[in-house]
Amino acid sequence: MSIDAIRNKVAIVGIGSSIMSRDSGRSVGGLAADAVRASIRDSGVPREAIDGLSSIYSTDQPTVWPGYVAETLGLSNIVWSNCATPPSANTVTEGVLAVAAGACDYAVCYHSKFRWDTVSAAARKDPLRKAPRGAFDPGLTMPLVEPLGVPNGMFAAFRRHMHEYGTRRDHLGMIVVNNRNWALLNENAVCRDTPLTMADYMAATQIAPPLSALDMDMPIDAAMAVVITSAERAADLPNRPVLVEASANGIAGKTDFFFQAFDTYQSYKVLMDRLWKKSGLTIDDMDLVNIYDGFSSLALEWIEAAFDVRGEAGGFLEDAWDAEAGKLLFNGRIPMSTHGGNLGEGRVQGFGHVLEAVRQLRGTAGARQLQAPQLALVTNGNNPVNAGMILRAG
Amino acid sequence: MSQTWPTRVDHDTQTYWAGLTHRVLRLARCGDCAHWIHPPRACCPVCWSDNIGHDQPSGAATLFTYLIQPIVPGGPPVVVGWAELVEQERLLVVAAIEDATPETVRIGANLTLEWSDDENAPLPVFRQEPQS
Repeated sequence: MSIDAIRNKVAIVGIGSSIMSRDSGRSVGGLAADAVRASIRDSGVPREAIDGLSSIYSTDQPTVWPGYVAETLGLSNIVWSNCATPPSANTVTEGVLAVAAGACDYAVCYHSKFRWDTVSAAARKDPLRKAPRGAFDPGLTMPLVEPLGVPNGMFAAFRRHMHEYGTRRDHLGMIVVNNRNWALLNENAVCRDTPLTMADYMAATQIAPPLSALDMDMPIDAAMAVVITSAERAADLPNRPVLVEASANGIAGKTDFFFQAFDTYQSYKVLMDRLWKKSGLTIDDMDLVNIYDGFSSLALEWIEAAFDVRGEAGGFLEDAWDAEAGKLLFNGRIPMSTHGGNLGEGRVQGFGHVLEAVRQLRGTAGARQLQAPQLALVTNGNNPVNAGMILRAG
Repeated sequence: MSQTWPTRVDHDTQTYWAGLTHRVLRLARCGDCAHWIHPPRACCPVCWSDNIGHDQPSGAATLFTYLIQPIVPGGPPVVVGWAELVEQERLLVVAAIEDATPETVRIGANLTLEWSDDENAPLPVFRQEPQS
């Protein structure tokens, strides 16, 4: 078993979030600045010591560049910066490499999401939500599917899953209700006051059959950030450090958003294989799994990949489902997405999964704190593009 | 439909789009190893050849998966299918499934290629063969 040379050499020492809401009254740049500033304050690192900035470009509209954040917050010592591919956890995986390599000492990794006028009819009524101009089509396949209304290949993948494995809509419901129930304990979640039962879920209108709006992440205004540094420097900072056991991103073979074959799971597999191999750990070592849920059906795919139960998600979810609590506990022990995920906390494209893992491992998750968790798996993205990491309480 | 397709053509997709105007499905295919490549790309993912030509598949396919959704916002829902062409495993063409409804659409159904009746911008469509 090979062990990664940077295993546990880099630590998350600060976390920060803007407010998360449908209408924050802040610009996308303002939100990013809020999160970055909050993370630096939380870390105890002096502003002048911040020398790395890592961001992400988004899959619908751009977020703000490192230069924007540096100017807004008066950061004048940046010697390493980056704007990585989605999903949002990739901003952290890139930062980890930079710190481990010595390219910078204290990096802030952030992501900012905004309810642009491209997201919904409601957002189009707000003159302050006009998205920057320019098409986003890095796969160059958009023209081929525009005549068909840009059909979502990820939704079609779930239809195929139903056909091939007998998976049902209520299996997605277990994921959605789990996340919404956890969100009730998260004071920052957009769904903190809106309980959802399985009966409510099953009664929801299927706007993209079999998926309903409840299966799709909540568009919000929000930004999040983490401060990372070496494990040695982390020892001198106020917070309990959270160490990065392993981090990676996976891309394999047919990955086009619209034309992918849907059934290879190869990108999931290369990522999970890498994380287990480089950490020397297995899923049984995890105390928490924060599973990406941009769509509930993606969470179902991730559960299959993380627990190595390809094609068996339905029965696996049934075994984990506590109908009375409305929550999932995998293998009788491992909870999922205690912050509520994108479906319950809101859509920061998986960055909330990183922050929640840090809170739980620090022991600062408040009403939803687990009993002394030591290891957490975070997954982000989908079969076309993904990222993941294993975090350890320091 | 008032929109004229495509919205953008590039070096790799121009032959595909030109084919559609003549109601011919021309898909990219490696000139060396004969691997079909769709969506079109400049290089063969199997043998790395840049010798990318185009060929006309038979039009026979099976339905791999589908979605039911409007093509234009507020429009009537249609069945959009991922047609797996018989020429190659997971060679998928995304197209409307004519006359299929949420009740009649069947994953695994045999499909035949037809064309939309739009004069300006014909598109490939598939029709389910009756269940035998």
